[in-house]
Amino acid sequence: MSGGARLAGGLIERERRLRFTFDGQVFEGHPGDTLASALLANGKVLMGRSFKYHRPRGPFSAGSEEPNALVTLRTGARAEPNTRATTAELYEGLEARSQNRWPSLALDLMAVNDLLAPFLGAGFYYKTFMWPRAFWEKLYEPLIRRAAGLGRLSSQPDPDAYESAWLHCDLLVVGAGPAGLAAALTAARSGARVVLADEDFRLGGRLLAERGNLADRTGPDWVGSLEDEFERLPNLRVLRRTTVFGAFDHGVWGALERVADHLAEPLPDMPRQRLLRIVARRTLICTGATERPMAFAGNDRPGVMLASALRAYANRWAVPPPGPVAIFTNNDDGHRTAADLSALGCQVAGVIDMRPQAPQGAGYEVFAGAHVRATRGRLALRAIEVETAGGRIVSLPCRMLGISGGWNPNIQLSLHRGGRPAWSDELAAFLPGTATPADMRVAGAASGDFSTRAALTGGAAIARAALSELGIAAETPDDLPEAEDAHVRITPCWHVPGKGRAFVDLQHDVTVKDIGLAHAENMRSVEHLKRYTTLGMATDQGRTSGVIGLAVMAELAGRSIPETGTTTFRPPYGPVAIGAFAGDARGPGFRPVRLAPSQAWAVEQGAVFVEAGQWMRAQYFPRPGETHWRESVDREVLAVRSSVGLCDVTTLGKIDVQGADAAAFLDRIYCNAMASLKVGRSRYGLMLREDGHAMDDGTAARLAEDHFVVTTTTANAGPVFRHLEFARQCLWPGLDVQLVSTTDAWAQIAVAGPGSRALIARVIDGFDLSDEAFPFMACASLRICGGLRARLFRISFSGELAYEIAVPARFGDALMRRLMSVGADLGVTPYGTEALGVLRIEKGHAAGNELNGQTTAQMLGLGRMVSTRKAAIGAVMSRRPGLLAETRVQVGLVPVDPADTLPGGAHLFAEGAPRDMRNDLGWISSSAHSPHLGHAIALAFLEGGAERMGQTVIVANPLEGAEMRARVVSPHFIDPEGVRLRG
Amino acid sequence: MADTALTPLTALGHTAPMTSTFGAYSLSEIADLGLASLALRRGGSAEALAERLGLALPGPGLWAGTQDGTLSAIWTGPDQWLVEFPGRACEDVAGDLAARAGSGVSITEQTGAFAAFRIDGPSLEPVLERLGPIDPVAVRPGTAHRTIVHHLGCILACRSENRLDVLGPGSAAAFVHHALELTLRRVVV
Amino acid sequence: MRIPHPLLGLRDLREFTYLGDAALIDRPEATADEDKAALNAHVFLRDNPAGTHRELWYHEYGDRSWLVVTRDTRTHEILGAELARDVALAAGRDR
Repeated sequence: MSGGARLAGGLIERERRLRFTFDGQVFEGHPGDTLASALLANGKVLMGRSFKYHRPRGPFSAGSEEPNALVTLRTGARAEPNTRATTAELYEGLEARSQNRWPSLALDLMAVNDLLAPFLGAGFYYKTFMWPRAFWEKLYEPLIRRAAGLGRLSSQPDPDAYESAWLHCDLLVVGAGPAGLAAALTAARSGARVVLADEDFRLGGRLLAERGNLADRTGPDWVGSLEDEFERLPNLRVLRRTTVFGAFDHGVWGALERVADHLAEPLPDMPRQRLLRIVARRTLICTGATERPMAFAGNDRPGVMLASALRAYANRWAVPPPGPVAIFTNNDDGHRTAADLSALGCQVAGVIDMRPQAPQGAGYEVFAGAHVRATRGRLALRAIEVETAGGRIVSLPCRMLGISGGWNPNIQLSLHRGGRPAWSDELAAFLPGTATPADMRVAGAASGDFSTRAALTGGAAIARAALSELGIAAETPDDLPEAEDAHVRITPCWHVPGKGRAFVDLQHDVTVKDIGLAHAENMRSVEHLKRYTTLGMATDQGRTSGVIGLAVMAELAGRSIPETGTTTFRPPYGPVAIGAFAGDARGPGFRPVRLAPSQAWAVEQGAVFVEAGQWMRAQYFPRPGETHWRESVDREVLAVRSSVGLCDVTTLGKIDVQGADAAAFLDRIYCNAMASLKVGRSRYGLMLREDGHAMDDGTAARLAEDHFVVTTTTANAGPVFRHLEFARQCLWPGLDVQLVSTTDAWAQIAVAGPGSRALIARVIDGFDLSDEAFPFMACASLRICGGLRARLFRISFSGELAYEIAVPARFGDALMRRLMSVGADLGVTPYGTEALGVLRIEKGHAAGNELNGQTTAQMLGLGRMVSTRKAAIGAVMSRRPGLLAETRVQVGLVPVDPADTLPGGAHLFAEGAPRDMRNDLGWISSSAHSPHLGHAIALAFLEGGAERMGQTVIVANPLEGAEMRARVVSPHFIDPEGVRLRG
Repeated sequence: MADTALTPLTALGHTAPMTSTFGAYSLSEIADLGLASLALRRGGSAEALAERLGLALPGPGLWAGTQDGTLSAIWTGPDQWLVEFPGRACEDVAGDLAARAGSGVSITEQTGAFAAFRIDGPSLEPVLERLGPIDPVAVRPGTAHRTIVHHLGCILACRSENRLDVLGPGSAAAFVHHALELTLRRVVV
Repeated sequence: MRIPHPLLGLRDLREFTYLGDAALIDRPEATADEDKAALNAHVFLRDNPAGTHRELWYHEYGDRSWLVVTRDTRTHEILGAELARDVALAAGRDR
């Protein structure tokens, strides 16, 4: 164990060693290494198996574009599949495992797929596993999933935290290569608020991987001095390990900061990753370029990689190739790799240059006008077959082959907001084009300026231009280093024709032949090509394969590359874990939870809770000995009917409506008359939508001539408030009306049952509760419990004599406890939402199930409430002929066999009618067991309901295969005359 | 003060306010803040109203208080304010405000509508970055922004360079408190 | 998205709720059943322009102002925002 063999130089801390394991085997590397560089230094080239054919694969790149070297990092609940070894930063104790192989990486029996490759081409699954249809879910899909795929999830809860944060800046610089560094330096010195983000753990971009870019110092040396200055600039925020993954409207950017991925586990309270939304007034895209390969037979052999990656491993990580190296190129950059390796003392077996006019080599052989036509070796490259310009076949022994097919500017972010890239014949590459949004600029290799000098000056120039639009003057730094200014010379080549499989998309095993097949099967659009072959749809999103794929397609179709076009670029630029998007919205932070004022008391009572929108509400209050929820609910219902019950109804929306025109305003909001309501009285109100359907209901209480409190259903509190504000601001801005939500300000308790008056009398401070002074639907402000201000409403949802009493929210808990203690001898019983539901169904009151957005006042039996004398919202439209012709109205149902239940959602049919849509007569909206009646009851919408009273209908529940018969009755199962609620 | 026999609870459901510290930061519940909303009726004058109240009525995005700190107002919308009465949560502050404001206004008790939390610490920027989409630069002493914090509408009232009051929905007090605690733990990592 | 609130400056999308076409402001004040055609058009008929569109946004998590935002539906560029109340008043809705 030694940290592996290393060349001179490099950006690793040689004096420190880090131990790590790969497939259980222990290795050593150094701080500064990635998992890939450390494995290569230890002679491990084989790092993975391909997705479909299980072909052995080594790293293909030295960065985030990696298609091959995907591993599972960590173990147990922290295991993270599909991590790129080329970006995983080495840490002490790192544990990595290879994926998609069985039993081991070197001997993968699933590689039998590779022998079947002739049958497994593009579209194979679509064609083969079509029928029998039923086999797909049970047999084919599980089989395919097991055979092909990537790593596996741990299936355990993620023990780590992810957080979200927002950053705001004048200028966001994406990428810290030479262009980004020059831009950030220019901008930060001007005093502007600058954010510089780079996905690497070290600033510098390609400067870290190159030799001799700068004239009189090394790249890392210059970056080091910049970092010192950056430290001293408080207006500059440098984000390392941060991938800007998406551009969104109006200068909002998504970025993922890997806060603790380089640690074995995060420190206490430290999130593993942070999802950043960066709001930038201007943004500079300095994302560099990615080298692309050329496709040829056997181009996926472990040891074949991008030439620039080979160069990066040698220069940045001081990793020597395991033996002689060959370079296959169509441009001058390939020669640069050969020169660098040669200078480091590595053996260069030869440079195979497609171009007949290839430059001369210095210390290595150049095969001009030649190409690689095959590779040899099983788990590692042993030799390549070169076809020379003269047609001679030369076998060249080598352990590594670097491919240089030219560079693709990383233009993705510049196109996320729309637009298409522009093709450059000179560079043989796509450039950002003219559709770049006005708040974005692109410089350096991302804009096609491939020389270091152009990147430095370009970065500084766009920073100045962007800042000047913001009125910030910036100077081009006079201390930018002198740098190389080489021109690009390239002769495009996309693939080498010939026998054998030439891979285009390495991660999804898409070959040149597959693209040909797609073409033969008439896939003409690149979007179709992509979906048919899955080219570019893997986790690397086609970073190394996309352009080649469409170039091959263009060639087959006899069209130019720009005519063929690209697929659409969409976020994310790199993979982002779902957990990072969720952030802290998990566990207790999953979504807002609202608690009623009596929450703590209800918990003490042993209440069972249920979510009602954001609210937690007591569903029922089980007592010792009760073994089934129905026992508790029946007891609570009967207590309300016979003595007195208490229910926290704070969750109902409450809106304070004030102003000289408050009454006129509400008259236009509710379909029934409100202006005529007397002070000190409440009234049931129904709101319609403008299209005439019922929207929400509640009560309006008039506390003063110019002061109402209206209630909404729990679920609609927010939407109704929004609707009222819309009416106030947009429809009738001339009315004098002020609105405030008071839902949370007042605790409100329903006191219901024959004993309610006696109980209320025990807490109020001298107030006449007699029917004469405070009749049904009365309301008043008063004092209770020795001076506390309160509001009392004589309203009833249960059909019993009932009140609702409201106090400032902070006193809700105490009032509940007080009512419970002073009402003990009256049999006071708390009841929950379940009993509340039974009580209102027994009384035939509509609730959310009935006000479902599809029903009208007429269907609810409230048609006569809609006033024809005023222009209330929805009133006229509710009288459209189609709505008036609707005969489905709310009725009650009771089972013919009292032992039957009546399932909610069941549909209704006439006896003997076929159970189909055409004969559907309606549905059950609410159902319950009525302890008062001793059998099931239901509310339903029934066609011709008014004429079917007393008739029998079939209640069909095909979901559970049950049917029962029910009799149509009035929806008022209890006290239809309303004797009880009037005392 | 109402002479009621009932004992109030804080928004977090306790009899005493909660306080906790995270490194150099502290988070405390302001349990005694009386609140009432104030809205100008049609044709009313904010200047005249301010004079009657002896309190400057601030414009959009701002709050303002009296010199002695007994009364302050947060702008909540056009011609609307949330008036703060520190230390008077148990009182009928809406009634008090109505008596002072006279006619031409709409006033509503809001004491329980909001749970108020106070964050003290060396820098508010890292806190604000984690709370929501408001630009920390816009959060200066004297500003009060109503914005979204962890899916809830909250008011961020900046009292000084080192003090931020967060007013969230009263019924969601525990949720807001959880979010603020988590935020401060992250800030001091 | 960032919406330029006329009183509060640029604010983030998530403080807002979207409603739809600003033509919803022009509600026919109809009481008679013969006005159904106008109301029908108001409720159901919308233009769907590729280009400039005036639309209603509600600052639900902010100051509860309704805004009329002018947006280019092709680029999402926002060309301006006004208080809907001012727009409605200017349109003569001061009854």
